[in-house]
Amino acid sequence: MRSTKLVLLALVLCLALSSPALAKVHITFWHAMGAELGEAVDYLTQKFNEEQDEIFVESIYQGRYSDLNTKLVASFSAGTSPTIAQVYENWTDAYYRYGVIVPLEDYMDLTEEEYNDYIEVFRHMNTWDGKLYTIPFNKSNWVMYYNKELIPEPPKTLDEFFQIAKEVSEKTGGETRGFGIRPTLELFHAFLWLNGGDFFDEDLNVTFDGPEGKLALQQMIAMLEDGSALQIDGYEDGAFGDRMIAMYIGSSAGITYAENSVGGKFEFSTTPLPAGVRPGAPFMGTNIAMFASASEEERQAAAKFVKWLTNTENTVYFAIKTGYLPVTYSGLDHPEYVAWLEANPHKAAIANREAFEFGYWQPKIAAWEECRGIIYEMVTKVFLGEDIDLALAEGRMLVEEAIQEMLSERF
Amino acid sequence: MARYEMLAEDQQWRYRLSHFIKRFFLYAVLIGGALIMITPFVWMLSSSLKAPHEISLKYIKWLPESPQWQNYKIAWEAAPFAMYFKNSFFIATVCMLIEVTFSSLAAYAFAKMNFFGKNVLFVLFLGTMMIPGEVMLIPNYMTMVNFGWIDTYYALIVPWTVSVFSIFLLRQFFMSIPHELFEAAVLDGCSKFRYLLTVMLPLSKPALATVMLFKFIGSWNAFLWVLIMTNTPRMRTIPVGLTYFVSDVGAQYNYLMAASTFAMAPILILFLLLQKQFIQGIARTGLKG
Repeated sequence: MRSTKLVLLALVLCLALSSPALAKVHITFWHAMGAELGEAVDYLTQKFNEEQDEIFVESIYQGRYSDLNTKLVASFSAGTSPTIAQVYENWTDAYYRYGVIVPLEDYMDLTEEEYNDYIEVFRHMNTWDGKLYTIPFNKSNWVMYYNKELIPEPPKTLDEFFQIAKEVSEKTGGETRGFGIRPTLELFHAFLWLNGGDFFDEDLNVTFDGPEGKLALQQMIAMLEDGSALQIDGYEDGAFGDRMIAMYIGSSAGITYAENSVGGKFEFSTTPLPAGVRPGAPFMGTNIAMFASASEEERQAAAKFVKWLTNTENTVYFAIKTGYLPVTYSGLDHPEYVAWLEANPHKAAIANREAFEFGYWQPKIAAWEECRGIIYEMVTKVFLGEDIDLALAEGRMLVEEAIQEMLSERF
Repeated sequence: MARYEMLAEDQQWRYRLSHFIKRFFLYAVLIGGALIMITPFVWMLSSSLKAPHEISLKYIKWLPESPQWQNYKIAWEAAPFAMYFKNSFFIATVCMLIEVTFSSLAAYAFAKMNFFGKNVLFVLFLGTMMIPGEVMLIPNYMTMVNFGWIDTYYALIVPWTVSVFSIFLLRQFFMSIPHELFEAAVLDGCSKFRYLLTVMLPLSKPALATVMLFKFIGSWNAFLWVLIMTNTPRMRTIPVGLTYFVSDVGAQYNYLMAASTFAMAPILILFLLLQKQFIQGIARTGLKG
C-alpha cells in the first residue's frame, strides 16, 4: 500500500517536473562576448527565459570572434551547430554559400513597420537575396576620439584635421602628436573612403589601388613624416590616455577602454570622422544568424528570441550597458537612450543620427577574411618603407586571386 | 689552496685579481641573464597592481602609484576561475600521470627490446610529429563528436595521453643506461617489467620529471582544443578564462595581468619543485626546452 502511494507520488512529481520542461524548446546561442559584455548577454537571455515558459535559451561564450568562427566551421561538418550565433557579414556570406544558414526574416513575422525600424545601414549589411538573412545585434561605428584640452573644436573636414594635427604637434613641441596611426585595415579604409574610394566596385573589381588608395596611403605617411602623427602598435587608447596623441580613430565600442586609460586626467570627446570629398561613418560589429541544422520548432523559437532581443527596450538596455548602438530607430529615439547620451556628452558622436545616412562597411564577401589579411600586410609594408605603387599593385594581384577563387567556389 | 700558498706575494695578488675579474664577469653575466628572465614577471606583477591609466605610458613606470589590490578580486570574479582552476588541475594532473605511464612503457620497448619492425615503427611515430595540430583540429573534433565526448573530460584527457615527444625523450634517456645492467638483472631472474620499475625508472628521474613538467605545462596552457571541445563553463580551463579580458577593440591589461599571475603561480611552484631534475633531464638527454 505504502509503496503504491510512493510510486504514485513519484509519478506525479515526475510529471509535474517534466511536463513544462518537455514542452520547452531548447535553443543554443553561441557568442564571443566576454566579461561585462557577456554579462549583458547572459542577463538578457535569463530575462527572456523567465518572461515566458515555451522556450529555453542557453547562451554560450565561445572565446574570441576568431575562435567562434573556427568552432562554427567545425560544427558544420560534425553536425553540432548551435541554433543561432553571432556572425560577421563575411562569415555570413561564406555560410550562405555553404548553405548552412537560413534567413531569419522568414521566421520572424516582421511587419513593415518592424522591418523599417531596423536602421537602414544595418539592413543593408544583413541582406542577402533581398532578405534579412541575419539580424543586427552588436553594432558599432568608428569615430574620432579627441583630447578636448588640446583641441577645443574638433575638425569637420580632412583639411582641418591635417591642420589641427600639425598644430597640436607643434604647440606641444612633439610631446603630444596630433594623431595616432595604427597601420590597420580599418584606418586605411577610412582614408580611402573619405577620399572617395573603396576596396571594390559593385561588380567586385578591385579599386583600392586607384588614385584614392594611393592618396590615402600618402596622407598617412605624410602625417608620420612631418611629425603630426605617431605610429602606435597596440590599442590607441593607452597612448591617448598618456597624452602621446591627441586624436585617434577607433570603435565606439572601445569608449570604456578610453575612459579607463584617460582616467580623468583630461576631458575627451568623440566626433564623427572629418569629411573628405565625402563624409563617412564606418559601421562594424556582428549580427545573429540562424543555422539550417535547427528543426522547424527550434527555428520558430530562435526567431522569437531574436525579435525579442532586438526590440526597443532590449536594444536600448544592451546599448547603454555595452556602448554598442541600438539597432533600431525606435531604440535611438528612446527617451532612456537619449537621456543617457545627454548625460554622457562625450559619447554623442557614436549615435550621431547623420552618420547613419552616410554609413559604409567592409565588403560582405566570403573571401574578405583572406583579403583583409592581404590588405593589412600591404599597408604594413608601406609603413615599413615599401614603394606605394608597388605595394598597391601587389595587393591588387593577391586580392584578385582570392576573389577569383571565391567566385569559382574553391574557397 | 696549497698551490696558492706557494706563490710569491705579487703573484698571489695577481692570482686574486684574475680570480676576482673572472668571478666578476661570471656574476655579471649570470645576474644579467637572471634580470632578463625575471623582468617580464616583475612587469606582470607590477602591471597587475596598476590602475588602467598607468598601463601604457611613454616612460616605463615600475611601480603603481597606489597598488590596486582589488584588481585581483575583480579579475577572479570576472570569470568562474575557481571552477577553471579545478578543471585545469584535474586535467593536467591526470594527463601527466597517464602520459608518463604510457610513454615510459613505450620508450622502454623502443630502447631495450628487439621486435620486428621496431625502427620503422619508431620512425612512423616520429613522423606524426610533423603534422601540425591545426590541420587535425576539425577531423579530431568530428571523432570526438562521434564518440559522444564533446563537453566531457574524456575529450580533454584521452587524446593527450600519448605524446611522441615524451616517448622520444624517454627512449633517448633509457638508451643511455648501460645494457649490461639489463643483462645482469635478467641473469639474476628479474622480469623485464620489474627491471623497468625498480631499475630503469628510478635511474631516469630527471627525464621523467622533464616529461611530466612539459605535459603539465602543455595541458595547463591548452586553449583552442579545450574551447572547441567544450560548450559549458563547467568543463573549461584557465586559458579560456584569460580571453575574457581581451576584446576586438581593447584589452583590460591590469586585470589580464592579475589573472595571468594567479594562472601561472601553480606552474611556477611546480617548476621550482622539479627544477633540479628538470635541468638534469635536459642536460643528459641533450635536448633544449
